[in-house]
Amino acid sequence: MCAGPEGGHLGGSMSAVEILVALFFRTMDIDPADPEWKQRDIFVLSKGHAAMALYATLAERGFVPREEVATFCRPGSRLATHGNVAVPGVEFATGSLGHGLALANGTAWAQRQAGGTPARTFVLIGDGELQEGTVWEAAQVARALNADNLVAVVDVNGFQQTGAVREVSDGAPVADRWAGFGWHTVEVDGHDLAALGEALDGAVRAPGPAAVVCRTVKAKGVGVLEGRSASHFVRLDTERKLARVRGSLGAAAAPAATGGGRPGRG
Amino acid sequence: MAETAPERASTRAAFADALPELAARHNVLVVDTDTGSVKPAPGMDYLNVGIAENAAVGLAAGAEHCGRRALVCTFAAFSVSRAFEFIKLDIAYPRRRVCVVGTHGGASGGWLGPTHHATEDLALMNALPNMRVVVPADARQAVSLLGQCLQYDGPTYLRLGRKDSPVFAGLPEPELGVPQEVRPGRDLALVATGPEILATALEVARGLAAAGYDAQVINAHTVDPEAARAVGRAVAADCRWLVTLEEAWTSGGMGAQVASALGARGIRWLPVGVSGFLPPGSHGDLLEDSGLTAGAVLRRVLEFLDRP
Ligand SMILES: Cc1ncc(C[n+]2csc(CCOP(=O)(O)OP(=O)(O)O)c2C)c(N)n1
Ligand SMILES: [Mg+2]
Repeated sequence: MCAGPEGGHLGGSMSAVEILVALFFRTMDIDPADPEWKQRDIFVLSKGHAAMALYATLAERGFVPREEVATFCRPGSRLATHGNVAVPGVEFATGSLGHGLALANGTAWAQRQAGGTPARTFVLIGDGELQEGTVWEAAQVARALNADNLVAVVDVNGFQQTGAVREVSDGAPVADRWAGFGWHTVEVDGHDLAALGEALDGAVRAPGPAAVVCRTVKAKGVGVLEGRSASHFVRLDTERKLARVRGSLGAAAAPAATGGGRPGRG
Repeated sequence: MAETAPERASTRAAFADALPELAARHNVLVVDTDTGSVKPAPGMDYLNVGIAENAAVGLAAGAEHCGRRALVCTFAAFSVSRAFEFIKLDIAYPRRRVCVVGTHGGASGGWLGPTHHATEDLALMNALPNMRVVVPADARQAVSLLGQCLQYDGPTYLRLGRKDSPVFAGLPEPELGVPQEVRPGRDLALVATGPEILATALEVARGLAAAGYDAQVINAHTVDPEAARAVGRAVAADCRWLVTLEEAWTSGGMGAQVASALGARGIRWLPVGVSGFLPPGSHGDLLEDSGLTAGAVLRRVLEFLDRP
């Protein structure tokens, strides 16, 4: 996907792969055959520049034809740099950072109003993104609304666009900040599928809003770029660059497809 | 008379290259918001406040309050739209010497999509009293106008593009607030803002000449109401038609200002710009789909001239 003329946000997409797999293949109650199913769990990609990873996940999960992934940012494609709402499974036009949690407050509230066991909203936020004040307004709103069907997943890969988060504007310790806002907070290895699954289950059961703070590696799985600031946005527009990245891809296990059924709400 | 040159260059890159020296010379604090458009450089006071556009605008205003000129750099979609209230209250209202820079202006965000397109920026900035709203026509003008913004005694907004855009030969040094006639003509006036659009206007003027119309072309590199009055005065006395062209929503953009400045002259006006939200796509495709290419504009203008 990054090989086209538009390049792509590789680092923040790769750091979130396991998080997306855990959500879309295990935790979330969704139906690829009916992406707008009223009782669905909702996913908001607040760090909208990681849409590449979301599209790939949606393709593996059956929301989007697999072949379409190769059209990323090619003429006529629906798959744009930031999440495009024309794509089934993309709920909001995100990409202006700091705003996904506010939207998630709204969907989670509406889900609670719908009656019965409410569906859940999951929102994925970047660690650089936490510098936007609007994140914290929304965090406080979630607590005030006692949004117990709302889970924020934070991708703490340590880097933003221009460098290490620690050096640009340090927000550590991230988990303490969420806890300080009155959120149930848990920290987890964001590349460990089993641990992620458990953490998400716990977050869903917890009273009030919950944050799953994920320790991740930017550009995880791409050896030559792993943990490097330069991975934020890459354009692999020559054979040499592409070959170098391909050659360094780790042997990450592919997700096992669970088919199109609706897994139970755990 | 100006002509589109064969080479292309990015106004954003030209700005980034020129900024360290100009900022140091005029003692300007540069505030960045994790965009990477500006690089720290020795001799330049540079603060990267992270992804915090509102905090950046407030910080710049606070520093200016203590006597420091400042520049805030981010994407147009985030500087102008997200931080609008603080640009209004902190910068425009007290007439602070702060330059707000918006990169990825207009549709130049392309595939980055609606979150990163900024077709509202000219209307929003034009709505603010005291604000000078500047859109360089090419990379050379970007450097010159940046220098002028950094010396201007009040607030300025500088809209830049993203990737390479047209460059013009024979375009004189711009002067902030003063429109440039780049092609004389007396039947109708084509007033254009921004690189791609000025190139389109020049091509449309050639097409109109072939159809027997003598079109004046004006480069409106400053588009706020005060500058628009100057454009109004620059429009040739005999012109019976006004065509304004811009890569922006036409509500409140450059054209609306120029038309209101010219209203009393009873001139007929065709606004050409962007209508509606743009989908993601290449910059070129978005301009084409918006009818902003020379062929499409020429057809519209000829229809307009034909109308009784
Ligand atoms: C409001 C806003 N400001 C700036 C940007 C430009 N931008 C895109 S990604 C990015 C860095 C994001 O860092 P982080 O949240 O840590 O994401 P990740 O590391 O997961 O890619 C920036 C500054 C933006 N998209 N939105
Ligand atoms: Mg990050």
